[in-house]
Amino acid sequence: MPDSSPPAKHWNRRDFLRTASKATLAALAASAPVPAMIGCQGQKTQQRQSTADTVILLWMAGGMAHTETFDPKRYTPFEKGMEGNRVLSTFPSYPTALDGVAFSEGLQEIGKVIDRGTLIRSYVAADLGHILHSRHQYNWHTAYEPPQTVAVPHLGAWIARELGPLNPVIPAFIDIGQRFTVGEAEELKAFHTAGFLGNAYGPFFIPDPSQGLDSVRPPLGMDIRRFERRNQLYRELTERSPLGAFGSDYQKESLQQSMEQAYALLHSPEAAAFNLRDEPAAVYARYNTGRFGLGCLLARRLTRMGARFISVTTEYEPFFGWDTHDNGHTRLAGMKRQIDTPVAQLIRDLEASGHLERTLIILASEFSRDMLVEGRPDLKVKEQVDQPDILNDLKHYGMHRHFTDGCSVLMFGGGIRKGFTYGRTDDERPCKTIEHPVRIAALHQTIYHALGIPPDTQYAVEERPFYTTPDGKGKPILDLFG
Amino acid sequence: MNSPLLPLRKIRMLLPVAAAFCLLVLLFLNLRANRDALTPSDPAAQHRLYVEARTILAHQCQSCHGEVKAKGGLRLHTREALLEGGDEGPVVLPENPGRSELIRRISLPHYHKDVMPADGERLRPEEVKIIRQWVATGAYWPDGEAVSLYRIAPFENRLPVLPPSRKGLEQPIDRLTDTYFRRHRIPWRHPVDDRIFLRRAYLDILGLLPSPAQQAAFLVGTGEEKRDRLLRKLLDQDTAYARHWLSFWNDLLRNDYTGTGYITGGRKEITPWLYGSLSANTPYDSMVYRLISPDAATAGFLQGIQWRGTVNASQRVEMQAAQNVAQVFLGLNLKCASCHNSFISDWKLEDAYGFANLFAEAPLEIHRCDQPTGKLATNRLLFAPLGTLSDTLGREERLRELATRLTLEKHGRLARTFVNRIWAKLMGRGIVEPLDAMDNEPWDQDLLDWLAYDFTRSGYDIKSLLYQIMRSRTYQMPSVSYDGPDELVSPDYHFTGMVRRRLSAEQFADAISQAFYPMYGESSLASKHFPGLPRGGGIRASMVPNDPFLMALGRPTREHVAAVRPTQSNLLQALEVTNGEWLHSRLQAGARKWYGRGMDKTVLMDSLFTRFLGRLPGSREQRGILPMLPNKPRPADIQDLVWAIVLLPEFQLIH
Repeated sequence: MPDSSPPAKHWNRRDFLRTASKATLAALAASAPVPAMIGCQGQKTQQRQSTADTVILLWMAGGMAHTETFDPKRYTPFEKGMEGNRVLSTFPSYPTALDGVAFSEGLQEIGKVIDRGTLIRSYVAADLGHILHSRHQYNWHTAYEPPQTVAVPHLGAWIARELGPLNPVIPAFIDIGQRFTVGEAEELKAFHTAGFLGNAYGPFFIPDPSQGLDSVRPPLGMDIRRFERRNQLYRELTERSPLGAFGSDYQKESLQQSMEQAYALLHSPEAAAFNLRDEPAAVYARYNTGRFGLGCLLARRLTRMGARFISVTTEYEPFFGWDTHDNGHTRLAGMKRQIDTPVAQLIRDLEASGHLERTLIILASEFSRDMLVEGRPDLKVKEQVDQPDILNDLKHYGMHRHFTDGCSVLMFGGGIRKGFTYGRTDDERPCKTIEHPVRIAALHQTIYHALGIPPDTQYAVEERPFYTTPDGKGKPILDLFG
Repeated sequence: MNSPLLPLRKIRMLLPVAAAFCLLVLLFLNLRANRDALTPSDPAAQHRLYVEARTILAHQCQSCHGEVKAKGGLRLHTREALLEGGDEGPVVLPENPGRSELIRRISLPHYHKDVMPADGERLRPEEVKIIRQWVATGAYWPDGEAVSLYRIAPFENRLPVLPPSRKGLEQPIDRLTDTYFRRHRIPWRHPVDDRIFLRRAYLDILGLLPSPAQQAAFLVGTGEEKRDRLLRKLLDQDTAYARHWLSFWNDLLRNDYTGTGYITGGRKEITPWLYGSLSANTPYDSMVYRLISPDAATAGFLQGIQWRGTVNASQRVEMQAAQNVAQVFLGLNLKCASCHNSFISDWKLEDAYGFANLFAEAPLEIHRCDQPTGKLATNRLLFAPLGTLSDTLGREERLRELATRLTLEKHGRLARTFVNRIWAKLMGRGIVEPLDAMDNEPWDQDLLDWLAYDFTRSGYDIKSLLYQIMRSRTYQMPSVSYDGPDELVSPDYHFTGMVRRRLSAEQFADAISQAFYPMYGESSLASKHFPGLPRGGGIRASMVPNDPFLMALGRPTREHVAAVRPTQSNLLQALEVTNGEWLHSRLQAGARKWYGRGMDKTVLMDSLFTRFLGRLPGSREQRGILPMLPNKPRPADIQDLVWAIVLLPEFQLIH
């Protein structure tokens, strides 16, 4: 396929340090954290050798059933009057590029590229009682359980804080696809934040990837000539302001430097990376399964331009997307159509351009679903879906309850082993994790490990050490690295 | 721990290494500046080393070797236990790190079978150095609880002796500042001119800019008492005052119109009560009383934020109440002690639970690091002067008692915590920092004590407190700049005047509303709780739900108590104001309206400068602007000029 993007360029932190202002870097406010314990930059052990520079999180929002996607079990077609208990999977499964590994129908494209990555089949979500999606999502994205006594940073914010942007003009933490006008929006906001690390490391939101360019270009209705003139006016005023007589000032510099940075981004050739309309029509069409698919395309473009952390979501909205409280079978066919081609294409494209090697891609969801079990088989929680024992209606045929004891996670690139599967769930209901359970702290530390961020990275917040994962105890899963 | 100690031969071989290591340690200590230079004669340094060492032991070792568990028979949570060692004998020989098994084990490479911690990460080299240094200097560990490692601020109210007044420095605040300045050889500087004072006063009391008419009236006015009169006049504007200060209180009480918890009924607003109290200038002690001993209107504060599902024991709502009451009203951090005995203060788990117990319907079971201990909490009031409470009292009675005792005039802690917040709000930096750590040393104890004493004597009159500070020459000196946030919290900080501050998100938005075009209309109003709204305008940014624009400019999500706002600017913020939809659309709408007035470019420029900056453009500025505008500016010209002005540091900073 045609590729007009520049070759992989390895920006480093030094470049950033040279270009960014002192004020921007000294972004720790008076109450903000300081590296814990002891001065001399000792907030962590020595930097590790990294295997990845960029992370792309493909977020399956709402609870993706493992038995209907990447960990299919025995298929039982729908019949009126059937017993729900007999149904483990509502789709047939198909072989993949990996021997002995099958995926549920509708994921054949990802099946063809799974040999480029690792398939984890044993993610176990936290036990948080009566289930609220956003609370589990908070837990997945921060490794902490809400509420917390301080505002906890998102995984992407930690990465932005520790590594900075890869390319200085591309925001270090980009969040594609989530709108905050949906139900549970406030709960979603609670973890889409840099928390105590400070706003500077927070997400740069692109709710609609097809409008990505809008977020990095002059406001609608302002042509480039006017934009330039406006900026010139601003510079004139700043330079001619009598305030200059007051001499240098941290606040003033901080303001002006940020304005310069914003101008640089809006102006830079990199801004074009946000414009999906530059893509050849065929490529655009291939990715275009909706906003998620286009989000993958945007993630691909930004990765090539030097993005650090990108999250692309199918978008969480209560009772939509993967959050199937009814019609699970029918709706999952649609969800799989949404993700199959673009995810596979993203892997292929990044591989072809040589970026996959240093780009870690993770596909995950806050938990799985099951037809009968709410919570974990050993620790059931209050049920939320009225699911009949006997299925007479197609709308009851599907995985409608929230299941926390066995979810699938895919990982590609960035030093992750190829053609590897890790962990296992039972082949019979409750289809729970029976080998190598993976918890969220380990998953985060695995990502940090790939990026060379030490596992005991911490800041003193209100004089307490606050680690990337609770108490600094999480460990990377070293088996996952090639 | 059964591995043999290092044979002597090996130790000899290691001598050069050890020497290099010592050098490193020395270097390291040097790097950490004077405050850490360790000599046996420096008890403060010894204490610091002790705290650091214990902090490491507590966080890295005590989950297996502590109060709860004793793997290998070893506990490390008391000096006795540490010296006693484990099943295999002593692990620490004071002054002899080389023969201390603990030092050996924590220094091993990660693959060694004896390495400690056995689970989790190895200690970092710096941590090993600290423990080693601590053992080498005798493993200092003071006895008993009586010996506190931590500064505890006096609790009682105290009226300091006021120094004699000098000409022009008659007010108590100035007399105290004068003494401080003399002690530290800091010169007084001339008060700011009327124009800067006027802008400061409006922004600090009402959160608004002075209008051109108000500017003109003030600038031509005369008389000794001119500034005092202005302050009193502004403080009398109850509605505008309440709408400005609402943001400060919402941050502090983490009250908001939207946020987590509401979705599952796990949170309540206190807006109508809060807004009413501010409008009426309700005394601070009455407000505190109502929040701690609540009725339906104020219950939201203690109720906290309850998410659906099961929650960590240290975040149950009673514990949230204890943490928030301690933090907000007493400047005390109980968050550590909510989970385990604090390593940064003398507070114990039992204290935190004992205090939380006051807010609970039934006695709480103490949990250590989320594990039940089987012990029930007994009521504790944290500070001895607050007395004790019988365990037979019901919740309502307990809270009434707590509220009554906390607000007694003889107790200065409540007042000091609050006056310090107000000082920081007006001056950009507290007398004590951080604002939520009131046991820290103030830069001037007398000033803090006098402010608190005067505040209680005034009947906890908040406006009177503002008046006292703002009429002082201390407040009216020119602002000072600084090199970065670190400088403000440095132990070497000296007060030399108000720190240059940034407009808050709300002040920024309200200034545009006022000087150009409304940023928010009635449709964006958050709550029906604001009586007496003027028709078609007057909606202040404090009264609308948080949005991306306000958030980018620093309005916090009120999930936690927020004592301060970020001061620095950043790229995401600059992007929001540069191409964000909200600001753009409001300025665009405003520009269309202004265009209708048919202004000539000089008139437009003068008008905008006066409204936003309180002054006319200088000749250099005129030469910069006028050539870029057509004689009759079009809407786009107007919009862009306003945009450029509101992003000027001169506009965004309070000088």
